Amino acid sequence: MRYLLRRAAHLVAVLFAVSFITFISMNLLGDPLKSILGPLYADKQVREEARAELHLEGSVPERYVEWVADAVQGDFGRSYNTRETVSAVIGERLPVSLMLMVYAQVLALLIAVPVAVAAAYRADRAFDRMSTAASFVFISVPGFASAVIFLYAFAVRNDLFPARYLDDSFFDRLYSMFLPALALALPLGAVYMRVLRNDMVNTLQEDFVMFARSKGISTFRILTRHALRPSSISLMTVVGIQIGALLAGALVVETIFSIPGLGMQIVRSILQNDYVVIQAVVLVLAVTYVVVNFFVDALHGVLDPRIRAARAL
Amino acid sequence: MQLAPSELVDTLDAPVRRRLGFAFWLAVAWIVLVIGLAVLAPVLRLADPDKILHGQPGEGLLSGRNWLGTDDAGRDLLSRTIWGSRVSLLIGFASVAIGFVVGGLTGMIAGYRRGWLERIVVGAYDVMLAFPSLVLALLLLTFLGRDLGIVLLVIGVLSIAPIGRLARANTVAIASREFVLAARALGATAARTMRREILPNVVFALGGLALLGSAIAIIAEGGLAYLGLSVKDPTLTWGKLISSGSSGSILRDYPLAAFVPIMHLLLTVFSVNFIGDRLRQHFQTREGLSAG
Repeated sequence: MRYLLRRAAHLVAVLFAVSFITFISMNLLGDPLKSILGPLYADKQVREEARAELHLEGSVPERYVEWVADAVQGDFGRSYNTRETVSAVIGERLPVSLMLMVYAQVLALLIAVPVAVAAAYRADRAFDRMSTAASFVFISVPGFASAVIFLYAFAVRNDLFPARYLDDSFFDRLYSMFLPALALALPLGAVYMRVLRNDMVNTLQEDFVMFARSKGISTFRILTRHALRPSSISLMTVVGIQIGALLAGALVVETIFSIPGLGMQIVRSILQNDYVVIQAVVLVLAVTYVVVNFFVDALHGVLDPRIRAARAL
Repeated sequence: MQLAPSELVDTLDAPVRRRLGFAFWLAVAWIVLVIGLAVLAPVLRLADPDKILHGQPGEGLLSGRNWLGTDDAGRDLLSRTIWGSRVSLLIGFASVAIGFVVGGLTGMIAGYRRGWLERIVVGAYDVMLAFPSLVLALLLLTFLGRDLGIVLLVIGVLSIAPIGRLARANTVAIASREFVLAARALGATAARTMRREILPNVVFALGGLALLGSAIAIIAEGGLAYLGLSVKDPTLTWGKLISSGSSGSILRDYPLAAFVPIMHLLLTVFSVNFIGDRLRQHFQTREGLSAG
């Protein structure tokens, strides 16, 4: 409990730092209105109206407090270019990006867990060596490279998969997101496979596995029921650590398959100098990331009684 | 003299493990080749990378003057890829050098001095690591502009925290060893102890991590290019070549425009990772031997 409180205090401090850095970055531009308005900046009336609308009056601490207070209530202002509210834009795009990330995460685990278990079961044999070598290759291939290769091989050269996003039904979404999700899942799965395989090899040498075996429990059941759970602690940590890389990959791969998530929105906002939107997207992504990592950390204790016990001391 | 079974295994295995292997030298050769071509690009009499209709649009591999074919505007892909490699490799190596120097120094000082200084430095690392790296890059590049120097600096800043963390952790571990204590007992200043006793013991681990960081930086530039955040035009980079070549219609009709730079990027990243991995194993073995 004390541990959780300390983590929570840390969480609050990091959230403050992250939001402040995001906020203050707008001031790096000098007068941000200059870039937002372009040639219109010369017109004093337009300039002052825009300044009022974008809440750019007052001292920096005042504006920060106001900005955070609005953001907490889901009010990020309006895009100065399209007049849409920023929260509406994020509300429309964030779920698409999240779905791609969850999809990739599921595929990565679906690939990594069986391969790792099989490799650990016969450690140092042919399959283990092959999968370890393959994982080394896949770790080095960034998501955007495999995405382009998949797009060309399975969508452009023939019609196995669509080259763009289909939105009509849940099945359509799964189908059209398969290639990008797979491209993201390969490097991710390669990392997971390595971590799980190493832990699993160690677990299989423990006494309780020997005991289960001597009781006559089948190999399959020992692997899946007895050995997998205690071996999955580091995997959980790594899943948490990799969320940042997955997020970055997802934003990039979206643009290759024209999936209308936050990545595509970032491209558009940067082209239009739509700083209000970019600032809000950065804040949402950073806060989500920080909070998710906090929960992954807390989940550790639930998964592993030993950690819970150690923390209670 | 009788050998215990474990020692026997060691003597049998050791010579095999101490070799770096053919694949290692192949990877080194590739890196030397790309760096050499990048450095020599101005004197190599390459085709002008921006010259439209240097050949017919969409020439294949090994077609006349254009060895690696041409893109949708008939520009020479070999030349474009080599000119692009100059910036991509610079980002890969120079930006991580920033992280290596700044992260290594701050991490070592924090780990050696401890106390409030350590808490501030570690706190700063924590905040930097709290942002997903692409999101922090997105923020900085949007608001600082996209000149080459700034892209270099931003990717460099991103590599400070991971390298610094390792530097601090290793310094803390080594600072408590007897030889460091001996140096301090003999009256060595803090700066001298860090330079002569601690630095030689942490520098290889940091170098290995920095090499990995180079591969990540090259990939990061590629990712940023897709979001429109790489170095601004007219500078060529691998990321910009790949992202402009991977839009639907160009990929269909002129696939080489994306695949030539992709292959260069993959081979380079793979070689750097492989070299880093092998060197790590190599030094671990040596350490194990000298300790035993």
